[in-house]
Amino acid sequence: MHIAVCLKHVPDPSTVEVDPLTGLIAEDRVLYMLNPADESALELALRLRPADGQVTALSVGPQEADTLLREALAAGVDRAARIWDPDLGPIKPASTSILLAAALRTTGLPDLVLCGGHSADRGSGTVPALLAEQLDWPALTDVTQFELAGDRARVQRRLARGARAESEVRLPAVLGLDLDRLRLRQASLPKLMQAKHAPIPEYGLEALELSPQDLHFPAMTLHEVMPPRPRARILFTPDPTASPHERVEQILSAGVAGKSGQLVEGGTPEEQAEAIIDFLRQRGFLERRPAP
Amino acid sequence: MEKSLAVIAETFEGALAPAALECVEEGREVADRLGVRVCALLCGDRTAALATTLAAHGADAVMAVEHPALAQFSADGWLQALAPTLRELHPALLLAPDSGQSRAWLPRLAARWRLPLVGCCLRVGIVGDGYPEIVRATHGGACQERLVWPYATSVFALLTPGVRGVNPPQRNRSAEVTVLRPQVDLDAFRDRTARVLASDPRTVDLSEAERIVSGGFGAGGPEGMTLLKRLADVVGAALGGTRVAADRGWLANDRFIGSTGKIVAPKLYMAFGVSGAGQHLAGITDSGCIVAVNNDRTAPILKRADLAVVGDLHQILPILLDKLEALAAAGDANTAEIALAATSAAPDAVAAPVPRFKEAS
Amino acid sequence: MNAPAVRESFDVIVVGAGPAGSTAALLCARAGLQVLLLERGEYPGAKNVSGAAFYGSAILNELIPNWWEQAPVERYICRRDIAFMSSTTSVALDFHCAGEGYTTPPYNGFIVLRPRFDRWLAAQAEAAGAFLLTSTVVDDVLRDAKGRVAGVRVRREQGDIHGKVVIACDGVNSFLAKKVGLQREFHAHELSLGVKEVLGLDPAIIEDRFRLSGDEGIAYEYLGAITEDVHGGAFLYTNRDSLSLGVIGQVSSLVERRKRPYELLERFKAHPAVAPLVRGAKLREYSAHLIPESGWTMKPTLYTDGMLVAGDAAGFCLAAGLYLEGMNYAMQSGLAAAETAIDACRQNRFSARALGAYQKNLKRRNVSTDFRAYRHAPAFVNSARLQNLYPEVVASGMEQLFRVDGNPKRKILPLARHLMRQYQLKPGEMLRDGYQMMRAYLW
Ligand SMILES: Cc1cc2nc3c(=O)[nH]c(=O)nc-3n(C[C@H](O)[C@H](O)[C@H](O)COP(=O)(O)OP(=O)(O)OC[C@H]3O[C@@H](n4cnc5c(N)ncnc54)[C@H](O)[C@@H]3O)c2cc1C
Ligand SMILES: Cc1cc2nc3c(=O)[nH]c(=O)nc-3n(C[C@H](O)[C@H](O)[C@H](O)COP(=O)(O)OP(=O)(O)OC[C@H]3O[C@@H](n4cnc5c(N)ncnc54)[C@H](O)[C@@H]3O)c2cc1C
Ligand SMILES: Nc1ncnc2c1ncn2[C@@H]1O[C@H](COP(=O)(O)O)[C@@H](O)[C@H]1O
Repeated sequence: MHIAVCLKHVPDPSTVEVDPLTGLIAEDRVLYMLNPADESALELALRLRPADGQVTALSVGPQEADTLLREALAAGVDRAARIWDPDLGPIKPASTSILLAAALRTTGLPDLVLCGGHSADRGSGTVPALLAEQLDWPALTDVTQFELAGDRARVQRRLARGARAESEVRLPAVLGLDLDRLRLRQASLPKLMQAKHAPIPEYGLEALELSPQDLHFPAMTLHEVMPPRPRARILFTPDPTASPHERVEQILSAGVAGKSGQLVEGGTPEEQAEAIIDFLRQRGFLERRPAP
Repeated sequence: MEKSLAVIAETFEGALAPAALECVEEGREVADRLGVRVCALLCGDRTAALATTLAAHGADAVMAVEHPALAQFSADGWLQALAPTLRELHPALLLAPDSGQSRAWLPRLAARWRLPLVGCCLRVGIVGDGYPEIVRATHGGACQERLVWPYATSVFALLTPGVRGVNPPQRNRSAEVTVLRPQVDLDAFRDRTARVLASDPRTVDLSEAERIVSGGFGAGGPEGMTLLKRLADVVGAALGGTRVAADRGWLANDRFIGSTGKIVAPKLYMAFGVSGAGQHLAGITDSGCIVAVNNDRTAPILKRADLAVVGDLHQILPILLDKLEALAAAGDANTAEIALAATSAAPDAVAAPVPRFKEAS
Repeated sequence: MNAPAVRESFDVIVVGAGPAGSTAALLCARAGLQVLLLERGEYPGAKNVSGAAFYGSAILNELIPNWWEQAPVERYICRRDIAFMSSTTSVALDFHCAGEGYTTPPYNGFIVLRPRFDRWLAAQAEAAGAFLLTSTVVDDVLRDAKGRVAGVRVRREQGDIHGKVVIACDGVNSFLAKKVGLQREFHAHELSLGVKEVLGLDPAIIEDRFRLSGDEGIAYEYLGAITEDVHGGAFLYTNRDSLSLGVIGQVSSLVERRKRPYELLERFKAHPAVAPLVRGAKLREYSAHLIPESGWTMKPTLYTDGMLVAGDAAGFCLAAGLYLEGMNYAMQSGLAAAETAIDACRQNRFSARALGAYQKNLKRRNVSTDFRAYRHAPAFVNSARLQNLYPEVVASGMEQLFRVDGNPKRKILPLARHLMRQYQLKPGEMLRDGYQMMRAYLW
């Protein structure tokens, strides 16, 4: 069993400060770290590795990304490689997936590729499927639980509102993981010291037999960055059967600021408990839910 | 074929996902700017009945791609079944909910057709003579960016669920419905979904929970929290609380709510002995119904509550529990569902959460 | 930079990459020793509270000439302001220092943000050849057959590592120093808890609001009602585009008064003298940390066979009213420890006797002298009257002196008598306090 994990170095979210006027990030304050979702993927890969298996860690990124590949080496991955070329410029998910696929072909195709769910910077969780497309492998995303079963993987996927789907996928495959955060294991002291200055091979376009045109993928043009401005949300639908007056009241009371809710003051605890039950019943919280 | 904008109408257990309706409505607005029609695509088995709802939210045409093998999601299956239809439709813009399922198959199609795909979208619009413009969130929502596509080809946009919200349906609208029954090659489905599991309020992440019972310093200690846990179980809610409660060790540290804890958006939020400090309220602004019990009538949480009870939780809670538990046990017509909620974590419905990963060897 | 070799034993193991540890590692590495620098944080400074007035510019300049040109400094300090507060008023001493050495190199003090500064300083030690390992907690010391310290054990598999000298720079409440019996458990009244926030604010607003230009900065220190009846004080420093502010409360009185430290901080920010300074600023970081406060009287023995203690671990933090200085003493004692270790390695002698030269080196670096001189200050600063009463009296006196309400104005002497009655001050006590203050600060 050979597992590859894709690791990205991203700004530590706790050091990302966005200028409230321009939306620009104060670059000089940013510290980089291993993408949290990828840390879980890495730990899972190490847990899944059988005695005779191996784990390869790959990252597309500049030299600073060596730090996280060394972290991976210290934690026990068998090989690490970084993909970068001075000609690359800012890279988009599509090019990332082409580079990763080429690197996997060069270093030896694994049986399974594990990715994080999302990268914490500008990512949107599309690299896993894009990579699968490059390799012509199946892909599943938002995977919360994982189990190997012969030539297949049995997984659970996250659906909306806490629901889950049970799926199966044939290997080799690419998975985008959405695990509860798994902390990376502690490296032993000797391994940590060995990894601290370990050389990390860097694959450029030439080594991957790619040309800059291969990476030329259409992408929308970035026009502006801005501070977060929440979109006005269509919040509340008044009951269309109510009178206009009631509808206006309904809309007003659903505002985000202070609500003019119902006040229960005085009375015995018994009556107060009863008021709560009445309220829950009225609002439909005690209604039968569809059987799962 | 007439020019159109396509929407992937995701379903969940035979019903339309709210996120799909958001996409249809967003698509409607954009389509009006472009002067094209909105075509919603359904994929599954016997989904055509949902067309009325799609029409009521703005779809002009509904294409239901149906096959028994598509009853449950498969990324490979969706690709196989929908790619030909989409190719033929050649939409000016394609909108889909930013869900794990979309992310498993749509990027592949975008890569195949060399079209840009953008995730985490907050808003889709049109600039100039009909060029798509997208605002998306980056850095986990700390930042936003505006993207423009200055060509006549299509763009795929994945819309973050819950950002737009849904308008009331317009019953007078209708759509032209087409049912397509493609041939599918089942052997080529490398991934398959066996079934969908309902959420378990006891283990669900607070940020996903539909209902939350929350305790603050006023709960008085671990005993108070135990009572609240019972209440949570009986109303099918997850247990949360304030930072103070977590600091005191009455509550697990990943269960406190607020600006430095979890941001939640339940439909029902029941707060007991919570004062409603700004840092706490910041975590619950998107909650639906708020019930608050506090013995201090000036507590800020009471002003945010739909039902504000001024009273002593230590007196109210035991009675409330007795009543609710009695109702549940009695299987009262109205409350049988309570019992149901409480036991919805039936062993076969939710996989045991403990052995998460089978370690190879 | 040449990658230091992976090895099983080092000449010097420095525990803790704070100002004390990184300085010690830097000097040892420059002397050609094999140095291992161990830090439990993800990076040096990750666990350190985030803003500080650093008064060790000259010391650092000795090691890294014109260090401020490459280090992440926020502003140099050209004004210090000490305020006595009641709940509604404040009386301040404003010290503007435009003179030589304050606004010109090597500068008297800088405001720095610790996470960035500590990282930079540790990187200097690495560049000099020290082997830095982060995310590595030291759990124990190793001893040889004769019971001498011979290395450390870290909280990792195969975590034993040998060294000829261990320098413990692991901060207040030093686990290591206690482990080898060089430090007793602190009493709650000897420790203070500092809670601190960094609030982001536009540089233009900072310069305008604090009347600063360019890289000038100001350090405010507060005494009195800020901490209510909890013994302690508060501070506010201007960074480049943020403010560092915090409240320091004696641990024993926090516990006694059942006060949550962040409540005090909220109160401080809401005080009428402070609120306008922080208006519109946005929270960036929040942190809490202990400070050793009893100065010389809690001085432990600082060396044993194979080991030295420096910085906060040795209690070298001058937290006494007018002063809140720890980083400079951390560096000075770190240097003294490094010098001792270098000599020991040269002579290949690591017994307690050989390491006893540390004491001499501390004196030469003015550490022990300063701490002896100010040995009475902490007790005085922490006395109840100074903490609670006098700031209130001074502030309320000034308030009455300046009040214009149509009532007959009181001259200062009758006012003082009135105040003494109002606050039940006894002349004898005041005299004694005056004496103590002079003893603490004047001679
Ligand atoms: C930087 C910072 C970040 C913070 N982040 C968070 C955060 O993310 N989340 C968070 O929750 N807090 C946060 N806090 C703490 C926050 O400011 C409040 O202190 C906290 O939310 C208060 O918790 P509480 O409501 O449980 O306690 P309290 O404020 O002590 O309120 C207890 C309430 O219970 C009521 N009560 C008491 N007895 C009874 C009774 N018998 N019956 C009914 N009611 C009763 C009281 O009237 C009172 O209103 C943060 C603070 C700081 C400084
Ligand atoms: C709120 C506050 C404000 C302050 N303001 C000022 C100020 O304005 N000016 C000033 O000069 N001083 C100030 N001080 C004091 C100053 O912070 C300290 O005196 C100074 O940091 C001491 O340096 P140090 O290197 O001895 O210890 P520290 O800076 O505490 O460094 C100790 C290092 O050791 C590491 N460590 C601890 N245990 C272990 C272990 N077992 N294994 C591995 N690593 C370990 C820690 O992570 C840490 O990085 C302030 C302190 C506080 C709390
Ligand atoms: N530059 C990269 N190098 C390695 N892996 C990456 C890179 N970018 C994305 N990935 C992987 O793809 C996942 C999803 O990323 P994204 O699509 O950018 O949100 C990440 O969690 C990583 O596992």
